[in-house]
Amino acid sequence: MELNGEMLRQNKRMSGKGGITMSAELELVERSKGGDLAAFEELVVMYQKQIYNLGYRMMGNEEDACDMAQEAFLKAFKSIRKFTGRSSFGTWVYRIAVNVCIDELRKRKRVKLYPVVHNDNPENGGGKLITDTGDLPEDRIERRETREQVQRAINRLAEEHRVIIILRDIQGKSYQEIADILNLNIGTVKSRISRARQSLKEELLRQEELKSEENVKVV
Amino acid sequence: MENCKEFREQLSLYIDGMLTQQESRLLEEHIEECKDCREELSMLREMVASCQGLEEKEPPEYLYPMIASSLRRSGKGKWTSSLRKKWLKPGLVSVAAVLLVAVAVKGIMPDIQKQLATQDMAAPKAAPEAEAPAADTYSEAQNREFSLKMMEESGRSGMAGAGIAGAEMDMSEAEMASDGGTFSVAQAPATAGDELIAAQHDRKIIKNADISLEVQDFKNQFDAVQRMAEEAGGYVESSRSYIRKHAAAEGEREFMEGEAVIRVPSTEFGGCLDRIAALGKVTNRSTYGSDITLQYMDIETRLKSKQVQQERLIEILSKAERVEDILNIENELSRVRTEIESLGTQLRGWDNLVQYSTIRVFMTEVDPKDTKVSVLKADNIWDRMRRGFIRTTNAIMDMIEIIIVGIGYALPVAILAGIAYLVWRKIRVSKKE
Repeated sequence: MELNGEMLRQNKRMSGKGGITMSAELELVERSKGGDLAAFEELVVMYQKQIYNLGYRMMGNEEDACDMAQEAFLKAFKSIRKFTGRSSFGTWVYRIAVNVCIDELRKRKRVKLYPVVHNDNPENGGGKLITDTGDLPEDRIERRETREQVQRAINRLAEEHRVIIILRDIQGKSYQEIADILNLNIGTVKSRISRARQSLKEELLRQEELKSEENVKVV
Repeated sequence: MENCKEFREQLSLYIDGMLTQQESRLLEEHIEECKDCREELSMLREMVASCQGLEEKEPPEYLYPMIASSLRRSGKGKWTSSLRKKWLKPGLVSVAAVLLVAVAVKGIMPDIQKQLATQDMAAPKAAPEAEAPAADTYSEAQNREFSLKMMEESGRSGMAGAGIAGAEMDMSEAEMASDGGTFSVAQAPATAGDELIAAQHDRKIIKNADISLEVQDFKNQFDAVQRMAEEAGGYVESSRSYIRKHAAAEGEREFMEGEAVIRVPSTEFGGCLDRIAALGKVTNRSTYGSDITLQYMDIETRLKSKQVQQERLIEILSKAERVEDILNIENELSRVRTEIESLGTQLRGWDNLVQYSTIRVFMTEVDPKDTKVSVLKADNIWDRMRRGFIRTTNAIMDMIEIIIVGIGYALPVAILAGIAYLVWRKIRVSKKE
């Protein structure tokens, strides 16, 4: 089992994002449908990293990400018989995971309110965002800062936009894959990606402003 | 500048290479000229790049064991847990609902319950499906039914008892002997001594008979009954005949029905009844007699004593001299005479009842097809089918009505239960938090 998992992991690394070949994956799915837990566990090994990362970016911390991944796989296993194979297994698991995350986020929002983010200057189109120049050590530090900034900004986006940014820009899913995962048509995906990026940009600019204000205060 | 907005929207797609060649070319041309859009594009590119720069995180070591163990747990209890989740809760809810309905029905609607119980086999069929509470309701309903019947019966016997009491009062008071209570008197308790006296006396027995007949030729047979009464030396007390409405459909033959009460000398009773029975198919025949010998004797004795009293009063009257006395005696005399008259009427009435037995004849006309083999009448069948359909539909409608009304009764309780459930859930959720 352990060996098998290791092999799969290697296999995955070699063949990139899609993991092992489609037919092998389908066979595992079929065996899972028959109640073969070992087969499903192999599928978990194949997809846990992606699902975990989705959860991590959606929820913003490790613990919640683990809970979400666990719940998503559990749900997938329980309803594996409903998986028709119209999309790939990965897409299907992604859809479940996205729904689990969004459900959880909404539940939390209902119980305790997050501070409301005001978009006080949506018309602000200008302003320099990131200074991207040479490869000086300074810049590297700045880039790490930027990453943290980006993650923070993502965490402040509405769920709908957050999912889009994560799927498209962090995990690099194609438009078609996103459409399948979210059960939307391509046109909607296009406009949603555009809008999500727009609101992410605004969020980043807002943070930039806050930071400069702080600097002023310190000075 | 105006079309910047349009281009701005395309920038995102442009980064991802999702624009058509022509669109890309147009956008690129615009960017060459427009500084704002150029900046916007580079900003978006940078942002996307920094998003892509967010590295894939390696999941923690414990993630896989955690998922695997949860899968194993679910796999083990897969059926029971899904059963519990899917069926237990709704099951409990529905049982509770049935209970509520049962309570509502039991408490507020005894009449529906009665209907349910009497709806021939409907209730016993429904009972096992609706589980225990409904079964309770049903048996309850049955009990109720039963006790109702009991009450009816006891009511009837109570009435009979009252009749006896009335008879006893008749005998002791002898005031209202002429009106009512004559028939139930028959059941009055008699001691051995009374029986002995009765045996020495002429037996006074009132004979009655009810007979129901089905005939094919109503008019002639009904007339024959009346003729028979006269031939036997009796008479027709009442008779009425009518068209049987409920059975007559369009195009169908109209059937007659009739009821005749005839009186025949008691000596002719048996023979006459047999002759009537021969007129058609007898569907019901019952005879019953009342022995009124004791009551008759009692009245007779009282009549005699009143007559003696009358004679003595006349004697006293002839000797009376004072006007006041004369008036008093005459008063008393007229009272006694009235009593004698009423007792006499009573006795004559009884004499009549005893001499002439009563036969009540119910006669129904039936189609000869009931006795002969006949061909199908298509239109008739259609009609009957239609009527049957309507009847059944109405029955179903009644049932639905009952159910809907029942829901109405249960609804307030159900709403309360629903609110309670929501509150409970809310409390639970907030506790969890």
